[in-house]
Amino acid sequence: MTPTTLATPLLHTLLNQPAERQRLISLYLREQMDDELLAAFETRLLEDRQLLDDVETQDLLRQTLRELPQQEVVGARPAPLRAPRWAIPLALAAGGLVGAVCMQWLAPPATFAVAGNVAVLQLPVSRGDEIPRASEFTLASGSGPLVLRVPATNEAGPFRIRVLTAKGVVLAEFSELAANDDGLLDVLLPPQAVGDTALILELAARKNGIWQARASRSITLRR
Amino acid sequence: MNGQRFESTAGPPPAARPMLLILGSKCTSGEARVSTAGVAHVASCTPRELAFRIRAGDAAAERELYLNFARALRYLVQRRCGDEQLAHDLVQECFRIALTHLRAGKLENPDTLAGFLRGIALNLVSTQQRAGWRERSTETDAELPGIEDVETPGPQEVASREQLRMLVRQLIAEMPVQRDRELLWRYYVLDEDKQLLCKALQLSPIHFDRVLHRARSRFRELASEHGLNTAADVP
Repeated sequence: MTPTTLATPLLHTLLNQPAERQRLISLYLREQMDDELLAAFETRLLEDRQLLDDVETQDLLRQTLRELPQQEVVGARPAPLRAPRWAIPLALAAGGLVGAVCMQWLAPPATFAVAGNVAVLQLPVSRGDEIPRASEFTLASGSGPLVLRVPATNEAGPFRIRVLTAKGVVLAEFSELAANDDGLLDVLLPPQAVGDTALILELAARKNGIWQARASRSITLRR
Repeated sequence: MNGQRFESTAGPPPAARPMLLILGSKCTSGEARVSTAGVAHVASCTPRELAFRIRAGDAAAERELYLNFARALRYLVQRRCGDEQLAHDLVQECFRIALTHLRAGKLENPDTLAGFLRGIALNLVSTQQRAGWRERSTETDAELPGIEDVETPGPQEVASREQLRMLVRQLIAEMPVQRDRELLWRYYVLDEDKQLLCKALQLSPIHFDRVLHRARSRFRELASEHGLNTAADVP
């Protein structure tokens, strides 16, 4: 798409304002621009060496940060909660005859439903919301192993799912995951995932050889 | 193609000149400068002037075209194809096509030169994604002798991943306030919004900007200290 006569001068004006400039660069790096703005921005990128320098530097910093463990960057704090860029329903399925607990990250409000032997829980999270504390769920006693289920498309993969403690200790890591024919990533959670401590569920996709965090979620599972 | 309209107006026949980019000249209204990496590039030659000079048969203008746009085009293409070598090949082909059109005077509005180049590059990426490209790359290089001499590598092409990780570790180590490190992580890794981060971390927008600006500037400084081809500071 070629930028319109409206988009280009407006973009130039915004790029001269530091806060707006940073916002636009951030939108670009997060691939959140619509086609028209993207065309205007990239055309400007070709003409403006300083803008290119700034975008490349931030892209580099962003990519490199993503290669480092969170613990190393942030310290011992629990992983911050975030809303994912795209809707990723997270499903926790109780194995055997018990069923599953599913979490829809972007679907408000919280609901809990049982259909047959499948229990579905949707969390009250919408894009950009902050969650003050970990979500807690109580599973039926006597339930079997837990299966974490995440709908995904293989075009965006391969994927990695990690289960971490709040202090960043990795309890389980599943790499090179591909969605099954139903468009789902299914992984068996370790027994220690159920307890009184908060866990971080982290979904990452590999892009350009680098695992990039797509979403993370704090959760406590109890029986 | 690319939203641009081409005219078959008069001009030097495209096939009459070799696709050769020669070092050593600059446009009349621009000036050449040398980056910290020692790579010369033209700072302020207007697209219109470049287009007219190329149409008039000025081989130096072709080199300036490359110097002005190659790095940015490679960045755009590599973001889409995720392959450095492929991006290089596609940009070579982009310039081959662009020069053919510019020599023939087929760019109707020379002020849209950047958009014209972007359009060609994106079309090439689409073509590559549909049909595959690698088989043609050798042929393309042969049509653009001398281009390697005027490459302007960006920082991503220079630094090894391990070097970069080391620099970021140093950057983090120099950030004493844990909240600032958390801001960096949440903004760049988790893609959280500025407004929400300000609220969550109890920062004013100005303070937020300052923390990010300091981190970016320091990252550039560290990269520069380690001999990487980094950008000039941006306010």
